[in-house]
Amino acid sequence: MEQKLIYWMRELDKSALNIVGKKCANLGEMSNMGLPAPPGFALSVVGYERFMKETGVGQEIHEYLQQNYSTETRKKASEAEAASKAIRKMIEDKTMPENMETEIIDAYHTLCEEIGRDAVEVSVRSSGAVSMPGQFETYLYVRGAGEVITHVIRCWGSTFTPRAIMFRTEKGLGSGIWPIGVAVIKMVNAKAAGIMFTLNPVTGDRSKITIEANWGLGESVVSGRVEPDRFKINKITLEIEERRLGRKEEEYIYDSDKRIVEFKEVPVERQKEFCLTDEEIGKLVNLGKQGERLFGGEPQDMEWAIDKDLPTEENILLLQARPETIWASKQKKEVPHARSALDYITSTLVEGKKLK
Amino acid sequence: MPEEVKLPSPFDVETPKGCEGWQDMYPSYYLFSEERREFEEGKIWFVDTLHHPEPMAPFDLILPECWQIALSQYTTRFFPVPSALGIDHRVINGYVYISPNSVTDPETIERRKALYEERVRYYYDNFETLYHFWKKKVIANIEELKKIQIKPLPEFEDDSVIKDAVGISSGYRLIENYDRLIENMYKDWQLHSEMGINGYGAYLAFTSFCQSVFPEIKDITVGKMVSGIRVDVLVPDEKLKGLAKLALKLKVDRKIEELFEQGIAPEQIMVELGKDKAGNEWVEKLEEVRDPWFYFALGMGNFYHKHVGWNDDLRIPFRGMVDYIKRARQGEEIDRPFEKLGEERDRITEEYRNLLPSEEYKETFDQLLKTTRTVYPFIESHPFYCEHWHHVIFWNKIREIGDLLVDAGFLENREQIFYLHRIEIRQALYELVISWAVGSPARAPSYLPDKVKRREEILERLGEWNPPPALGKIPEKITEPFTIMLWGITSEKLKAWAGVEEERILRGSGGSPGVVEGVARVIRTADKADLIQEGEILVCPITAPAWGPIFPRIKGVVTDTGGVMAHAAIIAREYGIPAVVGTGTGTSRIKSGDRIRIDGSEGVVELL
Repeated sequence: MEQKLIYWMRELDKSALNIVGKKCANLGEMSNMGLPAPPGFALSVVGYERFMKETGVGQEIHEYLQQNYSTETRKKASEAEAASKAIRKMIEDKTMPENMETEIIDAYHTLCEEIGRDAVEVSVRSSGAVSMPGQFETYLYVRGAGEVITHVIRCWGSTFTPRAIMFRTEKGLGSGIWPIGVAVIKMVNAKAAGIMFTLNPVTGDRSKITIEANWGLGESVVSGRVEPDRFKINKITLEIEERRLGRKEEEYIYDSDKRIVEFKEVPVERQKEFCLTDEEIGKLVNLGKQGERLFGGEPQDMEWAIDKDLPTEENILLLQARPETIWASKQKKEVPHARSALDYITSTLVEGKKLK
Repeated sequence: MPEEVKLPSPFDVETPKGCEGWQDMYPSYYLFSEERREFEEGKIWFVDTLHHPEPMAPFDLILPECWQIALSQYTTRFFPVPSALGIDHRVINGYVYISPNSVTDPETIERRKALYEERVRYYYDNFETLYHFWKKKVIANIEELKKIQIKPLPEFEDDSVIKDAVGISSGYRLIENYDRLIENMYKDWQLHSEMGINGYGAYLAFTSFCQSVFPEIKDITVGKMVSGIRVDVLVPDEKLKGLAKLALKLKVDRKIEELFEQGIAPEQIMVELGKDKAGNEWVEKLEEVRDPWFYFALGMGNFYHKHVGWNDDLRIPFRGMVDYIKRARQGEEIDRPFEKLGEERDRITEEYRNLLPSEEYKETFDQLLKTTRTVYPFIESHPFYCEHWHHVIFWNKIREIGDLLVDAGFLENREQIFYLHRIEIRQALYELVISWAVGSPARAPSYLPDKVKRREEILERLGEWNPPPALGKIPEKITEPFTIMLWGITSEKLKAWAGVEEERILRGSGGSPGVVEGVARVIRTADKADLIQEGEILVCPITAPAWGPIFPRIKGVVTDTGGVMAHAAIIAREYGIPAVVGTGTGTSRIKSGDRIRIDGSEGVVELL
């Protein structure tokens, strides 16, 4: 059966991983489960494959690589950079095949209708089947059908960033085309944003939720470019146990006149103010708990944002949820083997409480 | 602990000016001495302001004497806790310092462990039965105490002494009954410790299990999972609420309130109320709850003779009742929300359990939880029986002996008897009986009143002195379970106590969650609890359950000593106000009138 080009997020769940890539499957799963994710649609990997085939650029890339980037010898970064530049240009110079273009534009217009605004701003995000953080591009504040088409093509092109080329070469995955899905979702106009772990990734304590937050878009927190506000919450008693004011000297904000996202200085008064209220923290914690439960009870690493365009009751959105990996990958502390209650009591009393 | 953290030697503590000769008030085994210097300097000593926040009147030392033996023998000789012996005591400048002893020899630990496990298993398996008998024994001992009668020495013995072939004098009886009083106190404490030790053992193990999975879990949260919902020590306060509601129902509330606010004595108020049917019904109900629930004192566990029981000063419970009457009249729900507390306890427990890594863990968790919940209500409830109820009666019996000594000119007033050590009282009674039997004048009236006056002076001054929280040498670890649980000793606290102080910040343990800012009121002794004003933050050596009725008036609590499972912190949480416990130096660094902010979750007090 021929696979579809476009899927609405609400049609997807995690089983769609190989059809639309991980990010889309995840967003779909969240929408499906009733978690507040931004609305939008996904372009399946079929779109990538059809584009490569119908425009002939797939063949061009194949030939280019054979001549200029043999994978038999170890490659230098400068060579990958040259290949990247050439290939991305080839891709971006192509126009979208007409039948695909119509379908994408229709979907975009439907999204605009649903939200109730013309030319809704969206983000266009690459969505590989395997998580390769930071290798592919994401484009923010894309507006109008024309721009959506251009940026979908750019997303596909970003499977040839120098990092992605080198990574695949080193891992023996070949340097050729690498089909991915693309997510087109409503841009969250973030008042504040950041990440949330449904455990303390430092100690592995699963009864905690940790939140890092900054003003503006979440990219400043995800990339670690600012020192964010930090909160630690007891997931069970719901107490906010720790509040640490970050320096938050800069934030990513969108300048709608210049149409660019700028990394701008935060006014001093706002630096000294927590970017989340207790009420917002409470809502985030509930979403974190809900998300963790829905994702099989495993600790989650979530991206979230507070949308200033939405009414208060529904302004917190989850942009991403994935299993937490920081603590999971650490050498876990040797936890005492489970024993009978009496053994436990005796050994506790033998050990006592260390003071040094 | 970093190497540089050093505590002062107990031998370097100076006697405050005007208090010279304080040592004379206490027995030699309670004093630091050159002969034992090496041993004494080699261990750590904490000031026990948890139980004994004030300098000890010589007779009051009977409490630490009784509990040191009772508690220690249980860890040392009954249930040989593998690596812990008992708790040693000393007095410095009137304050009780304590020090846990441990076992380090691996072979001895193994030997103790085997016996410990065997006996503890029996204890947990038969807890219900043992607890049932325990309660009976404790109450029987109190009944025994009530029966001991102190009678004046007659000019001539009653006819019955001759005719019924008694052959024993009132003098003999006086000394015998004094000894029986002392033995009764001693026995009360023997029983007190019978159930305690293993209760704490189970709690500690449950805490350590929780910490192995949730490294950051707080003692408060562990406490929430195991604490009982209905606790006997809270019954007196509940009775006050019940009486307040009954007053409203019978429409005698305004009358009680008006008469009380006019300063009429409660006894007189009761007479006034008794004049009509509704009032009489209320008075009858009040009389019914007085025994035993008003044998309750305005002091932590009633550890001082001066902690007057509610029954001895009815103004205390009346003030509480009037407060509750006012609140209930305004439609406030004054009852403790049992159902809600129970649901919350179950929810928290269930959610933690769900986060455990495996079924095996869940099984251990369930077992430990069950054991701890079985024994924990004892820990929470025992102060009512062994401490309040018993001691209120005990102190009054001693006062009756005081009266006899006043009559004989040995003392100027009955309260002065507490300025003699129990051995000195026995000596004085012997002298009294000699004088009565022989017909010679006694020597005591010529020196005893002055001696006692000097002691009153010394203790007054010692009350102004701030004892250093810890002395001696910091050990690598502490194994004595009571020291860990009750006194909440941690490395952080020791560091703070050793004088590594941050300016304007005091650190203790979070005793009850929440953050609050307000004016501090430092109250060192229970009898000054009245000074607290609406909306202030109470700063005291230790909070006490019987301060219950004043809790609605205060915003928060800061204490010098105590872990979050100390009797007192439990009550602070019940009242839902933030508490920081175990700051070590709260009452000395904070002054009444200071603005402070307390964080009851983090255990931090900030001077603003």
